[in-house]
Amino acid sequence: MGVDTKTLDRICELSRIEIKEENKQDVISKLDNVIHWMDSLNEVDTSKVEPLVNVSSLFGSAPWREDKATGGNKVEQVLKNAPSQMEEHFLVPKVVE
Amino acid sequence: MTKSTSSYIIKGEKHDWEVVCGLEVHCQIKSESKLFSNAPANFGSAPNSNVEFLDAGMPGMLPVINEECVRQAVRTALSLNAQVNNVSEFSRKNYFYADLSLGYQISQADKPIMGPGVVVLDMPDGTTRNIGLERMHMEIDAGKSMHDQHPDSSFIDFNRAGVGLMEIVSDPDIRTPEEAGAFLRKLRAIVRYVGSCDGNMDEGSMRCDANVSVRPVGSTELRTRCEIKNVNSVRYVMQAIEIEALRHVELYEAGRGDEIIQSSRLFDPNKGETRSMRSKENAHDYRYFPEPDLLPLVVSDELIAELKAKLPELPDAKKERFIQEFKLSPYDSAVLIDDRNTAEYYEIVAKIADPKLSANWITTNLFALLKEENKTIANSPISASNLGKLIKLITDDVISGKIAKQVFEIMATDDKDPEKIVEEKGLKQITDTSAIEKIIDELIESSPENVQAFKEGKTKVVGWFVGQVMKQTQGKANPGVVNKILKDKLS
Repeated sequence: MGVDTKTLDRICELSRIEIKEENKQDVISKLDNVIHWMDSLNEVDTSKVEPLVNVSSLFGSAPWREDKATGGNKVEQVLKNAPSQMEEHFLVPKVVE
Repeated sequence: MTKSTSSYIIKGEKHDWEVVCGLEVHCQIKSESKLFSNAPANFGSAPNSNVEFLDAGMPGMLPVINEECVRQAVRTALSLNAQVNNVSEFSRKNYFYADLSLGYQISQADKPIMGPGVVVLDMPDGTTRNIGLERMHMEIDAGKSMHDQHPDSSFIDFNRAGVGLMEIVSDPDIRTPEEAGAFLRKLRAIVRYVGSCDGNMDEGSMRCDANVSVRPVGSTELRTRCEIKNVNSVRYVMQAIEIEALRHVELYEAGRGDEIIQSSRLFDPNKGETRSMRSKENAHDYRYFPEPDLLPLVVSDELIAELKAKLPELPDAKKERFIQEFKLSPYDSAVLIDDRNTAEYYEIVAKIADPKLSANWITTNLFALLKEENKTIANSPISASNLGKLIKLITDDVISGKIAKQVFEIMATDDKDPEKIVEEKGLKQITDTSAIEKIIDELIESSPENVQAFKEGKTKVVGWFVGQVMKQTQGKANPGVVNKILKDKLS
């Protein structure tokens, strides 16, 4: 897989960064190098290896919790670090669809 | 552009088009506490009181899965004829929004708890149709924003944040708005039977996203789809699909197909249109990665078998049993099993009175009464046993169907034993032949012209005689007996 201008533009948009037009070719070739270096991982045959999601999964599976509602009721503590609050709600800049 | 009602084809100038639709349904899992925290999961508490530090996105807090939520998901999967995956995994779905304090949603990506399944739709003509399910995964709900409380800020309440959800994803098998409606109703019936979700779309415990595209009839391609987000009633889902499909057809027909881009849209029922969601227009990438705080979720075969053995009778099995046991039509049976309470009510009635007549009375008179009084069958003003007794009075020839409706009206305000009402109001049918004979003799005497008309072959005049008898007896004469006596006397 190679990096082209279109891919670079999308990465820029997703990462909210801007790259000057004259620097784009340079960045593309550097990114391309990194990706091709990653390709060397494909040289290892992993077809018979189960993917490992979490190193700890070698030691077992997720513990389960009994369904008891023993928490909550700590409005004051929950809101303590809120930059802005009102009537026991967090207050944030308005985003309306 | 017109659309044919039978098969739902949208006719354009250039092509006939068909709808290709898949639904994603979010069902809130019924449990006491949240999916990964021990905060209460109920609806309607004081703002931010059902919140643990984890739900508020405080650093250093660890998620621990709620066993009841796992059981509910497994029950649901089993009732959807689906495969339960013994090992499933959680991932982080990253996005930045004020109602998601963690900055990511704990969800399942590559290995969900449920694999392929199927939902059987009951169509109004009595036929069935299978809609494939791709998967179901578990995830956490987000908090709630309120935009109308403050001039330039939004209020955020995290009570809902962290509540367990099951997201059920269908294959793009749905071809008409009606099928989408039938799919949602069936899914809702199933989760309610199993008790894994309330299924109340108006309260948000069940929410639906619809993926819609169109293609020329006969083609098998999948064209660019648009996702209509968060539609909150069955009717709106059907309308949204219809409107979105027409929008696509118009654009394709006008040669502007490239304006259809894969995007999220909102349905506005007031304006009858869908429109693009600005916040979702910008490119985003969820950067899914395995949730490092959670080990894989392992569900043993023993647990699956145990939960399967305890499942209640499910809608499809009940529908089949009603057809066999009570000789109902597939459609009547489907209507009655739709709601578990209705099915239970019906069974009580059908054990007392004629099953077919019971089905008719419930789906017409009782449903109309419930609608009028804005009640559900669980708090029906008429008890099942009393309705059964009333219907039995008809088949036992104690009262006529017409009188039964009068008694039904009385029962609607005073749920008494119908036999007592019939007794008190003197509504018992007159089956005493001598009393009826007497009235008929008098009629023959007083109106020889009608008797003459009958003798000349105008048999319709019988109706006049019946009407007169009914009038004089306030409708209490047994119509069968009246007809028989008239026939004997006139000829």
